[in-house]
Amino acid sequence: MRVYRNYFDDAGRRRLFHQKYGFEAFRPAITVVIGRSSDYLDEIERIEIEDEYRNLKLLTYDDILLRAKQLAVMV
Amino acid sequence: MMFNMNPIPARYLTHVLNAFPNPPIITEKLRQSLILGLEVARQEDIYAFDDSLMLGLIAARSVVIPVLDSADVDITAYARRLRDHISGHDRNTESPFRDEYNALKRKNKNDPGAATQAYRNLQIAQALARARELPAIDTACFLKAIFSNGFNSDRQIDDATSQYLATTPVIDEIENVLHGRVRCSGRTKLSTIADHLNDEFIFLGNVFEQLSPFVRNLSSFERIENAIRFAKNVEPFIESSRLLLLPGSRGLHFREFDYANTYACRDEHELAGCKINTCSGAGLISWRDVEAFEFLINRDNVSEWDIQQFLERRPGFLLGNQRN
Repeated sequence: MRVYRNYFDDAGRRRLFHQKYGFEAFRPAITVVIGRSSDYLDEIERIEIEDEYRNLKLLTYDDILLRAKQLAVMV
Repeated sequence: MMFNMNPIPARYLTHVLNAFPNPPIITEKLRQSLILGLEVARQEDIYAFDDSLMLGLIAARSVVIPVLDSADVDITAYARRLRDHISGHDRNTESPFRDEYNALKRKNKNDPGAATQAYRNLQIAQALARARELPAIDTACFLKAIFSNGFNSDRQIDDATSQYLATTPVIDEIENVLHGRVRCSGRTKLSTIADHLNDEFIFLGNVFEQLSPFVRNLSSFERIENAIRFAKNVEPFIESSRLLLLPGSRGLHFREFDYANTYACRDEHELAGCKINTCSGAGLISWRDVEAFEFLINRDNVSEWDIQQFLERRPGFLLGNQRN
């Protein structure tokens, strides 16, 4: 994850990324999408994991599904 | 130009609204538009209301105007009542247009009626010019429903539009245009979407184009044009372009929202009031995809690879509203 995050420290890479995807990226926030919500004992466990790694956010597939449902009804 | 935004007394508005034989859907935003339009008229010392004046005044205050259907609403009649009602108020000062009116009378001395009409047009132009300098309000106006039959509140119209937007054909069409149209600036130009999706049935035009050549030739219109240019200059400072979404009898119409606030709309061949919504084009996800994702993650033999493939094809699931 650190390697991925540092990838954008290089100006040339940032330029290539911008050309391909159309937006700037620098020091991106890192989000790991993994597992189901039921895989965690509780929310405290998730917070503990996120707290151990700075700039890391954990998302489960259920989180993505929930957000997608909200977006699907939002203009 | 500084503009006094003190609201006009509520009784004026009540008079206007009471003039409708069949009470229209009065959303809060329509109410705002009417209040502000009437306030502009009052400050411009305009009391000779007619449909074109109301159309213009409300248009100047709204992103999309409520189209006043003269077949259903006798604008002139309510205008007369309104004028009679307020004739005792604030008439102590002489009209600022008096000199122009006298000049027009001299010019049209053989045709007093033409002078009166010209004078009224002059008033309209002046009022429009002032109203146009006010900041646009992202408003919704609704008088005669086609698509939204039976709605009676902003909330209901919003909900219905949202549901329509979330349907697969609309999402697919937006997605198709979005893909591969990334500009160097990094922002997807939403006008490409609008160009792609506008159909022949929608009419969105600058309301001033519908006024007479006489009015358009008035110097006041230079001020209006300046205001329009100003609105367009403001646009780049807005974080993301947005689309106008107009419910029509056969579905939604699309157009780029340019932050100008003078549009008329026509659905097929009939004038129709409409609810305006704007959207950035980002973060729209169809229910079909939501259900597909739900099915995928609940599948017994699903792999990380399957999920990654799905999310790569539909980046909106991860990026949400950030993508633009």
